[in-house]
Amino acid sequence: MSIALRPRQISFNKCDFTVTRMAGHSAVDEAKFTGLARYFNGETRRGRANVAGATYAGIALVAAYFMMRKKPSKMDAVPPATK
Amino acid sequence: MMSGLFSIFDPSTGFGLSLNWIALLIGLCFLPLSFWVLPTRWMVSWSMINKTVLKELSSLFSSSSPSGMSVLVLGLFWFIIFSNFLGLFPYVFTSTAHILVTLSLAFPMWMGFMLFGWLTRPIDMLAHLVPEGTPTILMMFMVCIETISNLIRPITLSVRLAANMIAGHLLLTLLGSQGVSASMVILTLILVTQFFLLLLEAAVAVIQSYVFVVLTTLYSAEVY
Repeated sequence: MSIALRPRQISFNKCDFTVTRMAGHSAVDEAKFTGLARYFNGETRRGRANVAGATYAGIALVAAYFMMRKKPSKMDAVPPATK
Repeated sequence: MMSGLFSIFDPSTGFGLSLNWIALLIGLCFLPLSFWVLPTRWMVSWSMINKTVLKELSSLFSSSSPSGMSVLVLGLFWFIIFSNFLGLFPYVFTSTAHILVTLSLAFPMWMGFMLFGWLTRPIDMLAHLVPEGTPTILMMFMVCIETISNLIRPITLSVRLAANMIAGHLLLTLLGSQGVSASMVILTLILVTQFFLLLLEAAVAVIQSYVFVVLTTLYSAEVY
């Protein structure tokens, strides 16, 4: 008895992997998206990738802003008024 | 002597050597040998189980999964099922009850999938973070949620297996420790309960190995 294995689909001779696209992307009609929705939407492969990339970029920018922001030091504090 | 409730999981033997980890190799003793022209009953059973597991997982493999995935997945399945099931026998160390072992299985595979995915197909990996058909308002939150869910995958995989094994063994130990100073009636009840718990633990051992393998296959199918 032998174990049924799937037929070889990738050649390992030169460690060259064949990259294929996931199913479902070609079924979406990209022409229906206009303007900004053409690049940022929840239907097409590129649109979803751009949304994820933009979200990561936004988070990185916010994090960078808080890291670069000058922390208020004690020297900058206004001394209390004396009589 | 039991110094604490979890001392049953302590990996230690005499002379300062942790020989308990030899239990990792215990599954090798049960591999069927094919020295004969006609397959033995164990070999036939082994092949039947392999075919059943592969049939279940074949729908989960993506069209571009490498052919070695089925071998990897079967090896993982048998290792975990042997470690889980044989750990139920007295004096056999349950190696999969330790995060050290389960994380050693889950983390390298997850890391391999992530490295392969992000280095060879970054656009698809980014696209996976937003499920198809997500409403516009929820897209940003879905990215954050999917990122966190991606990052905790090795932890959930390893902790699920280890916690299930620990919980079962702990229950059996707790029940058993109550039988020392119990009356005949209570002792009988404890024995009957322990018998059914053992049956449950045997089922959990098989189920947890199957769950581990199915989830690993799903994670790999996302990448390939």
